[in-house]
Amino acid sequence: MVFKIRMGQPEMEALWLDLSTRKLRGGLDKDEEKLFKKLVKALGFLSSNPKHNSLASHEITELSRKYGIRIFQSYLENNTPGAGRIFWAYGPEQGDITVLAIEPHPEDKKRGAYERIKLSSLPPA
Amino acid sequence: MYWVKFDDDTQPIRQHNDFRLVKAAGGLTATHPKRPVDKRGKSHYLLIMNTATLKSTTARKGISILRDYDTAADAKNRVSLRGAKAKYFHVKELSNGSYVLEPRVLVSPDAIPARTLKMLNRSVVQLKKGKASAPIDLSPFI
Repeated sequence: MVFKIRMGQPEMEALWLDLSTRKLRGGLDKDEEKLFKKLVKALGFLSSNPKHNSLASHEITELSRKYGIRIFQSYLENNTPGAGRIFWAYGPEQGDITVLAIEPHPEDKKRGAYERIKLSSLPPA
Repeated sequence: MYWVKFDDDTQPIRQHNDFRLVKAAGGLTATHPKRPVDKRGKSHYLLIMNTATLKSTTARKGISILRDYDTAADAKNRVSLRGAKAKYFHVKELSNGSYVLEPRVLVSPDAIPARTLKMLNRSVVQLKKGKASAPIDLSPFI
């Protein structure tokens, strides 16, 4: 079964329109070109088989519980520690997949790790 | 704590501190001289049903001093913590010359950044309304 890929509104749709239009015009910079290539490849796999090994798709139960619909996460790259990821869900129609969000560059230990340090719980006073 | 039992039905059956348990039309009712009882059934004090919040069984531990030592900053103004149990600390320099160190932990790598979560929120709201973009065509890019 081939799924129709849709983009979530409004951010993902705007992002896709921007990237795809500029790609056709040849107006993407180096990083955007890389991201777009990975995104197209991942969306191709997602369309043909959402459980494709390269995507390592898995449900994020915390998000599913929060939103009341099953939310999945797939990776844009394989064997890469800081791989970008996309969040998607089935719907709105049968045979549709909607890409809800994209996280192109997750922050890892090298990139902004110290900004992400959070206060741990102190012993009760 | 003490209890007083009265044999006479017209007298309070039990007395606990200032509460008095008496027989009433609806059953046993506790009365208190300073706490009026709503006889319409909305509020009552029943000694046999403990409604007070139970105290936590786990006693809270206070912060105690585990180690007390003097130290000196080195040539680069660095001070070593002996046997530190945390890797990361948030440092507060106070106006009286003191420093307060609070242990911190790194966010899990699986955590979703706020910007992505915001995007996800909006998309899910629209998806639940049945709204999404038109199916995209990947053929020009493959």
